[in-house]
Amino acid sequence: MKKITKILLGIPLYIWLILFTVVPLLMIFFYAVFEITPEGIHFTTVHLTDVLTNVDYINATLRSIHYAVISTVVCLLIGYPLAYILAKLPERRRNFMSVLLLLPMWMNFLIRTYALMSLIDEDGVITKIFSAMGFGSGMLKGTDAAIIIGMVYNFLPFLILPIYTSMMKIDHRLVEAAQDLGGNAFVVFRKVIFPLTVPGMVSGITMVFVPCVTSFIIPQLLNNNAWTIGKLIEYKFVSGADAEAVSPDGSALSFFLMILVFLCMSVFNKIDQGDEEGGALL
Amino acid sequence: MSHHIIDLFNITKSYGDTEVIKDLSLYVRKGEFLTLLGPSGCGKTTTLRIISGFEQPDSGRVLFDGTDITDLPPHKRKVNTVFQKYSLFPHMNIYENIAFGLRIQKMPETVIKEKVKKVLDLVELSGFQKRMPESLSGGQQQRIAIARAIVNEPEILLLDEPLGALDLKLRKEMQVELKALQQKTGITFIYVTHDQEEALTMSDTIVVMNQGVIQQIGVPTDIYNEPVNAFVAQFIGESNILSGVMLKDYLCEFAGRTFECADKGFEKDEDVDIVIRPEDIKIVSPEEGMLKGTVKSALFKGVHYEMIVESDGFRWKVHSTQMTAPDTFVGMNIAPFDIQIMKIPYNILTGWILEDNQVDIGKINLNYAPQNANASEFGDEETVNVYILPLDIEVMDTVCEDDEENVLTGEVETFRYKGDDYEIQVKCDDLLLLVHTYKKVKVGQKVSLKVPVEKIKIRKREEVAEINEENY
Repeated sequence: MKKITKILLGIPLYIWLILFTVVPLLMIFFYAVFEITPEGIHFTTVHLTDVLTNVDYINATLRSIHYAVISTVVCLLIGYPLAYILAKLPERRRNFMSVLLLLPMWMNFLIRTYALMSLIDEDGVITKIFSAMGFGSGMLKGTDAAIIIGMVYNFLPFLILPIYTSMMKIDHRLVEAAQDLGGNAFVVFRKVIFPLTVPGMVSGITMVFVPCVTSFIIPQLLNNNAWTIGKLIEYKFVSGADAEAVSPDGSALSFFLMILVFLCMSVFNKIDQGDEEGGALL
Repeated sequence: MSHHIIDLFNITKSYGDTEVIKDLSLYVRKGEFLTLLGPSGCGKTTTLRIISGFEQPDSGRVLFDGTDITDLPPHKRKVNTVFQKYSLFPHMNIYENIAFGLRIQKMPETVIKEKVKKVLDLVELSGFQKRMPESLSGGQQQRIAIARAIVNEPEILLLDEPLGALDLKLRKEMQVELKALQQKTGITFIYVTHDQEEALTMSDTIVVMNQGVIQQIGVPTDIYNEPVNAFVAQFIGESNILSGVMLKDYLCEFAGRTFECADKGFEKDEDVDIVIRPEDIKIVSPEEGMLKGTVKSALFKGVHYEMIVESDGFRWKVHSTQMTAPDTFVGMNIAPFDIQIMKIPYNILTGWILEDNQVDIGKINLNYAPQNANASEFGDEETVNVYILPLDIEVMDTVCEDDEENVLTGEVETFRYKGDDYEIQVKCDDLLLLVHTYKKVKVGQKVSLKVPVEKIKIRKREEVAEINEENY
């Protein structure tokens, strides 16, 4: 009786998963490997091999990974210390600061990126600051740096929050125990705080890296010369000269991207689990 | 045994407006098992944390082996702590947990390996090196926490209610093991607990604390047999506490008649508290009894029965291996040496001296009579201790909201009949005052208390420290 109730309660979830995850996945796979011609449907690996051999596609993929890696590293360098400082603040200030941190995220992603666009334009504030600091001259828009700035700006909170959460979860008595056993501030950080925030870091990295790899709007708005895999897919489906609603090339690219993301995530998870057995990350 | 390893001098500590430790002085002898015992919020854990360095006292000094360590951070102190919830590092296996302190001391790996093995043998968890903390039971985690601390060979081991999370049976076993461990290693143990039985079982010295003040320091038998005040008597074991009068040496009066007793050295007709342990009352026939009463209830407690006998309105708690049925009319006898006479404790408040013989005790300013012949005995704004006897505080007939001289208004927190009068605790904001009164009040009732000007005693803080020393 109870089992039946459980199954019945799960039905909405199953419907959701089937309609919006399983069916689209199957459709992407289907369009990537089957060709629909007036004569009928037949299997083909042309599009998949194309994805893996076309130099332009490979370059776009590598460029996407390149941007994502740099952005994630920059996010980590900025985000980890910020999360640490945030976690150490007294409660009221901490709550206030977290709201400030989250505030931009309540605004539409596209609007934020458009706003950023004007900041890195020829007369943009950020361009001027960069020039003043001696990093090149002229506008940032249309450079690799523009994409990195856009990605870091948009995704930084996704990295800070999980790290911050894992820091807040650390029992303060563990810190005291480490001090009690003779550990100074550095030892306490290296041997207790840092290892205990690795899971938070891994989920933070995933939450930045994956959208960075797949992003198409940031490259498009901030540096339209750079082809990324996200932009390529968009091009195939929407804006390209031969774009079509059912694009075998686009489907194959999407399928490939999904496998790429899946691989990255499993690597991150490996790092996370490896750490439990003794600090593999260090 | 006489060497002091820890000396605390005039320690005070407040969190916000709440003073958790009031002018505490205490020493710990090398190699002893000392227990800080008291109800929650009495300041015992704070005292421990001041010794470990996790809390800084507002004033006062901490000496370790004669050296001032008040400002030394925790990681530089030669003490180790066993925390209440074990606090094992969840991301390290048992070997790494225990090796933590040794690695900081940069010991070679071979030495570490040897030491970890030895200490695991000591706590009877040999071969647990590779296990993760979460896979261990509570009792095993506790032993690892102890091992992690003593592997560093600290001069002092601080234990903050280490057995609190264990079940009763395991707790009893661990009590015996801890005591044995302390004797085997010779390390000074400072142990914090609210469990009086635990304290009595394990300690060489017990320090009973209440509201940030040391009530009594002594060996377990003294603390149990000769409590210095009603608080200690009630906290350590169960007891009947009554108001009485010391008529002369070896003769006292309570519960409406006189009793022979074993105490002397009180003033004639001095008001005192009388403590009688439930197991020291013998139930006899009504004709033979010094006191007569009716059994109200009888409850089996495992080894003995607990009977409540009502006599003249006072409900006596009596323990006996033989049950007397409820509603039986009985007599009760008490041997002279089983009657404990205690001086009535003062209310001790922190005050700041103002001009014109006034002292600020936080809530109000009290007028006081000059303490000595010379007028300017205290400095301006000097922090002092203010002593007021519970008997001297008068419960007024009406609640007065006005700022009358030396009148405090608060709510009754506790209420207890003591055979003759009532003992109440009145909470006036942060102050908790003990008051003896004949008036019957209710818990939660608002009352006004008048403190007579001439009854207030004021002492400088240094003098108090000397008094504490004498008491030791």
